[in-house]
Amino acid sequence: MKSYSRFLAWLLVVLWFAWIHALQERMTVSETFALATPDLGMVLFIGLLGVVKKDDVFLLAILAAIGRKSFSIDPSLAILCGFLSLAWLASVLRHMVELSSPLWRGVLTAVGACGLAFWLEIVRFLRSASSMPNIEALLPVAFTSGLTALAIGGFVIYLPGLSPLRHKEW
Amino acid sequence: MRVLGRRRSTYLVLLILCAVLSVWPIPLVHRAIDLLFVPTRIIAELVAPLSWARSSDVRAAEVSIDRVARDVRGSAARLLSEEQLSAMPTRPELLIGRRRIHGEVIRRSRGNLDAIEVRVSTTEGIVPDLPVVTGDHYIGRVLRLDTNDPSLIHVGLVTGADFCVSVAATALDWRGEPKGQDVPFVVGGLAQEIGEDDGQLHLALHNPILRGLEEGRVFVSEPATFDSELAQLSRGFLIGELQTVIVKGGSKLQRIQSPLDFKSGLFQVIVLTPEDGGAEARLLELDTFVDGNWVAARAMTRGDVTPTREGRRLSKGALGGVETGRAVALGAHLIGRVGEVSSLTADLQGLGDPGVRLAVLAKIDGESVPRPMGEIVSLGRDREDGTLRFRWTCRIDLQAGPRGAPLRAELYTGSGEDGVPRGLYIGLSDLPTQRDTHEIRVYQDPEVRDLSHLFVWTGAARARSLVAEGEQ
Repeated sequence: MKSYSRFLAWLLVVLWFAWIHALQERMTVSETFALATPDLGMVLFIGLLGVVKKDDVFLLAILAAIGRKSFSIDPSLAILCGFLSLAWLASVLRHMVELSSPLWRGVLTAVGACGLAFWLEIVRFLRSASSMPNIEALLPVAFTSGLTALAIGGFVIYLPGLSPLRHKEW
Repeated sequence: MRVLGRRRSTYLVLLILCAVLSVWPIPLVHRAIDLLFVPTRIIAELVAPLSWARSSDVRAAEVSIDRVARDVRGSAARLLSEEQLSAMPTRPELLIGRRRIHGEVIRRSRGNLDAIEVRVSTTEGIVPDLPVVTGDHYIGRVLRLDTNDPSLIHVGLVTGADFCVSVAATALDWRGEPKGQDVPFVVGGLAQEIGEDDGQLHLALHNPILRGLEEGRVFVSEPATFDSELAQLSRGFLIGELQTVIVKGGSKLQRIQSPLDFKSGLFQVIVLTPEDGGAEARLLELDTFVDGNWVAARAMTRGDVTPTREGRRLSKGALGGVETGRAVALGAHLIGRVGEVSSLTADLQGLGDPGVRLAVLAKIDGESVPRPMGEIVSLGRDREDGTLRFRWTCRIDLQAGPRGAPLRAELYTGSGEDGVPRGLYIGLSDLPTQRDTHEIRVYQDPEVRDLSHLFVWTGAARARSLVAEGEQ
């Protein structure tokens, strides 16, 4: 029964990543948010990273990457690499800081959003040998993502259906 | 799955490997990762209700683009026909004793920037070493016929390091008429680049004895020897203008400036054969707007979650006949090019996605014959006014407008970019006229970004006709 509810919870994680990335994509093309669109997918990822069991982090990173790739033309492997790196970073940091605290969640989300966007820009640049990565354009993303994580990061982990994945000890 | 606990170092090595493969992909790994990302095809459908709200806008944009498609296709067809005709030699003496076979540049040869692959209207009478020209200008020789594609030939360009052609330079008087004696020498390969060149290419001279000649017109002058019957067909075709520049240290460098953009601006060419080599060849037909050459696909998303990119996900992948680099269009409008392709989906890189490359043909206001602009590379879209930003190195001679004003031009896709047929409409632009590297702005129809039902170029009809020809 427990494994069934966890399986269902993972399916719902996919669904939530899909909807949250879809919302992010709509905000990115809108004139209101544009370059300052918060990385909502990262907010959910970092939020869940702070509460799931350490054994689940790898799977969470894969699902987050699949969710993002559904709405992105960045290379699949580059996106996967980005999320797996963040998972690795979180595994290192978990001995030093409380990842589920709002402040650290905000900081890690800002760093994660900016780092992932920068990494994807580097990959694009190296693959197409065109314009240099625009680092300035990534700073608003980091700022708004951090703020969003601070504001709603504590709520996204309580999205319906995710409770079987939450774990107190990390 | 104790990946992070006990095997942290292995995990780190895998991460680094992942990073390297992200930049330098290997097809086998790409196919394996593709399986992991198969659910992305379904996920994009799961959020379809989000797009229902704007479905009427999408339909209106598609109707609007479709309404103008016939007109734009008509003007593109006229333009391309003019472009093909402009590849024919114009001076009467260059027509005598020569049969002309029309060809279109398909792509640069793999691993060799000094060779191009050309689709010709017929290969009858084509043998290696025949001269290849465009208009009154000489560009190179036939290297070989393609072994796989019966309509394709490989042409070596005069820019090749081991290329040699006998030429003669003649000084011009103030009316542009030749004066004095012709000075013979040999041309081939590229001249040494100097600081102010900024991407301009110049042809090199070999062992010239120019007798004080510093400027003049250079034309092909192959000697009349028994083994150069084919090469002699190129006699009289222009190479460019002789230039003498002072380089560092005060020494003189002599080189030839060609009016052609050898790097990316060769679109239509003519192969010259002896007149008894067969019947006069027809011009290649324009197959851009043949329905069988396109496959329908739907854009499943409206944009990209990464704010610096402009792209969409397509509902068809490799199993649906979609390949990397292919053009995506609706009506006569170019929407973008296909990026990464998986089995069920593909990425569409919009024209505002940094790094997208196009070979472009410009229809300048007041001119009937379009000009090959060469390659432009996208630098992204200006979020303020919606214009597309492109980097363009001008390597052709353009006459500036009144008081040095830029030239208003309609931009269409040209030839030489694999997977992108010629004649698709890109947008309007003001072109600078100096030979330099510029950032140009292109005004694209804003409705293009709202479209959902698109078409991906497959060139299937052409492939079928090639197979049929092969079978015959």
